[in-house]
Amino acid sequence: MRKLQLISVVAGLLLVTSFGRIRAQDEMFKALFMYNFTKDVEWPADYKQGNFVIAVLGTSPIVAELEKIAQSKKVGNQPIQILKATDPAAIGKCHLLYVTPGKSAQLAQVTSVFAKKPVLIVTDKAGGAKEGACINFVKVDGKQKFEISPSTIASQGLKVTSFLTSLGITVQ
Amino acid sequence: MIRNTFTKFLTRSVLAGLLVALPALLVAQQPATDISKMTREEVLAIPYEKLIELPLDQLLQLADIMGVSLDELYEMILNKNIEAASKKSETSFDSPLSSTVLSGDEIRRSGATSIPEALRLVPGIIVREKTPGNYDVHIRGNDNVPPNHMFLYSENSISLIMIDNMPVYNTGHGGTFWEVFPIDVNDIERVEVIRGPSSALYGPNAASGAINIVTIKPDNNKIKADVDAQGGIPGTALVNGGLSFGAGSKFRARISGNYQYRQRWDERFYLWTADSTYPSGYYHLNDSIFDTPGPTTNKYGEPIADTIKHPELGLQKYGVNAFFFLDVAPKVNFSLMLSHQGSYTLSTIVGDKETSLTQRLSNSSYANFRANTYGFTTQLSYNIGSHDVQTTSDGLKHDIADFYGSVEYQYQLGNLIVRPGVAYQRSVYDDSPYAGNAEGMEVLFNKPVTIENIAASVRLEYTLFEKLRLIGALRQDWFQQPEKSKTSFQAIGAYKINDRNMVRAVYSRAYRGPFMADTYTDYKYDKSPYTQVRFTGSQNVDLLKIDMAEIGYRIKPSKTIQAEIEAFYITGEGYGYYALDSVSWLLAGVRVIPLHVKLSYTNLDLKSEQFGATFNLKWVAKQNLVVSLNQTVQYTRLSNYYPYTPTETIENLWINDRQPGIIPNTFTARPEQIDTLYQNIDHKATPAWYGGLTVDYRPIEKLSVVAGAYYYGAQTFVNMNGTDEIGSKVLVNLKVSYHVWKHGSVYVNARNLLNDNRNEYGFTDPIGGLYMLGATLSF
Repeated sequence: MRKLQLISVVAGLLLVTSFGRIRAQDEMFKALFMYNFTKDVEWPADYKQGNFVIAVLGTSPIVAELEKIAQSKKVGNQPIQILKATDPAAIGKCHLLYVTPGKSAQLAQVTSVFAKKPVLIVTDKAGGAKEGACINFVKVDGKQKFEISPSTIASQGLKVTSFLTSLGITVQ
Repeated sequence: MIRNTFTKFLTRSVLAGLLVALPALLVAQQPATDISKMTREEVLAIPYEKLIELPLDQLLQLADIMGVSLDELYEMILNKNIEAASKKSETSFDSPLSSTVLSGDEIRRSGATSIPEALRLVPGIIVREKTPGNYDVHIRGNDNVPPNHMFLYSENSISLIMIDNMPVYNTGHGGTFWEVFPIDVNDIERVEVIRGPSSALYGPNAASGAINIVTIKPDNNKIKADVDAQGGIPGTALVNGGLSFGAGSKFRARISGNYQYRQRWDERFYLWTADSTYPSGYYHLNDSIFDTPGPTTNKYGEPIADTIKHPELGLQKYGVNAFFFLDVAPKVNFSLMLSHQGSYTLSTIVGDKETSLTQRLSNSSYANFRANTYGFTTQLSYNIGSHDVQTTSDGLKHDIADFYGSVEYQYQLGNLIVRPGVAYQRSVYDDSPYAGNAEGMEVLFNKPVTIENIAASVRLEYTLFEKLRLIGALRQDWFQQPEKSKTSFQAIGAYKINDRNMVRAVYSRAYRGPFMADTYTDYKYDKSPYTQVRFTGSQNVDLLKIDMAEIGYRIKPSKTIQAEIEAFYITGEGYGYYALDSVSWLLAGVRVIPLHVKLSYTNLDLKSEQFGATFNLKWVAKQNLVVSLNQTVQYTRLSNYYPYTPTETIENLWINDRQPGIIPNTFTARPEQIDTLYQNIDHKATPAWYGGLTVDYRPIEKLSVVAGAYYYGAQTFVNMNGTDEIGSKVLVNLKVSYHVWKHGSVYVNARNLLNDNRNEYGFTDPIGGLYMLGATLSF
């Protein structure tokens, strides 16, 4: 609860334009984190062909950051494709789904639509990892961290390395 | 000729700078990167191409460094870093001097339409608008000394303003022409202000303080563009634009441009007259007084109204800039600024009597090179151009060339920091190209004239028990014209009681440098058909000395509040002005006419004393509300004040000399014949109180409201032409911005919202409300 308050207070200090810069940096780091998550998560063989689709549910500056990565990087041999979506049901096949804070209220629908599908669900919501997200971004004392739920990842039919698990805050 | 000489000089200086910089550059080696020890700035400097290659564990470490806790966020708002006070980065709370940092974001959010207006946000600075966009700016005040003389002496000649440490100072007459700054508000990263004598750190003219405007350095090599445009009534258009880019991890650049056009609220001009038909006051140029021979005609008998082509215009200016940055290694970097500006402003006259305002035309180009190489800081600045300081009179146009060069080295031995340095300044002004036309026009110098000095300095700082800082700064300047050697210093003790309380005491001394007009003038002013006035400069006068004793106390009563009070006692002596040297008379019937008046630049016994205190407070009141408040109170007293204007002196000489029956047809009198009565007076040119309140509020994420009030008490402006009692004024300002989309916002900006249209400065324009609409785009 205290953490939640802290995030809310920090988010409220929008007066400071430097905070805008901080937030832009946050989005850059989150995008880089997500790109790195793909190195330590294994998708089933039939997901290792074609484009590697990163879907973003909702609008967020992170889309631009992900598109920047997609211009120069691949996941394995798969080109990265960024898919912008507003409705979970309309997303279709994807590898990683990022639920923006503005759409986090739809997390239950997301987990329902993508239940047991090999999709790494990433959220940016207090308590997201306990509500069905595989990985959830959190701020701890202002520092960008992530929670990780190995059991949820496994239930999605994905494999995660112990290296990635060790870097996150494990949530069961 | 001057330019050739200076080109050679500049070439030599650049070579000298490179000699200092290159050895360090050659030995520069890329140190092994230890991510855990990196600073935020170092992380920000990592190019994206490298970031994207880093493994997740290292990215997490970098995110930790970049992350900002709530406490850190409060610190970023309340306690910004400053470099000007100690020539190294430290928090504002730790600064040993009275100082303030204003971020570029704060300035732009506030709606300040120009750099001098933005200084109204700084505690202890009195800012009054003379004509639209043209400001008088004084640090703490102590202004218009000596009074009852030329308007020139009201200009602030005792503060040093710098752009990226490059002085922008008018060595011709003394003071700062703000309109010749090639940069504008969108170029500002931050403004650092030191209140109090700072010549020991920055050289001559930093006598009441120093202001360094630090320009934006791009964070990365991405292409970014920004444009801000606003316009409104009275006819005002303000445009700022910038484009930044880079190459690889080491090179970054930014180009920018700006334009200002400001019409006046009132097209009238103030006239001093002694005419019952036309009493002193404001007149339109088409009023009949301007067709009447006398004070409104120039020496050729032409109405000065004819020389003012745009009576509706207060300011028009443009500036273009290119900034280049090369970061070779963590401790080796170079920057170069190349700028040009052209400007027209309606400002106060130098010394004439016909109107209070004149046109000033300037164009100037700047080059500013700075190198940081393993503790060495090398700065080379060069500025050329021309100033026509008073287009309504002949003889005040000149070409300028200013060179500033300095090398300083900072090293630390345990708790001792030592910073020795050397500096050189040479200014050459030449008005001979504008002399000797067919009409016999005369100019001030009629030849290239030089002001030059070399200096050596050292700053020592010793920290005891991690709480007590003892600082001594010493600078010796050897001026060539006049040949004077002056020692400036600062002695500081700063004791940090704990993280929330700090006390400090300062004793410092600074000098104002010499000016061409005081030193070299040989000028015949013959506006009257009968009287010829000759101004003669002197190379044998002393320089103005400012001493200050100051105590300060800073407190952070909670993590959301930072406050400070500083109390100061400042004295000034060594003032000078053009004093009456001699006068010869002609007896024409019953009238006595002064035929030849000689004025020579002379030191005065005048001494100024100023007592005062400044309080400021910043409070993060709520998550989306920041309140800033500052208040200065001050009292200025002049002793050994000579109360007569030059004209009154002449009249007194006549009265004292008159002995009926023995008046010759011509005779000569000298001022020592007067029974002078030197006085001690209260000097009220600076308001007894002034300050500001700013409320920065963001009710929703996309909406920003910044409301402020800048206020000052009554003041009495006196010069040789008259006295202007100026009432107190509260300027209410408001900027409301709405972030329409991710790349842009629209806003309304009102300055002096309540349209209090009284003049803010002696005999200058009524200043009313400015109401504008604007938009900002950034990509």
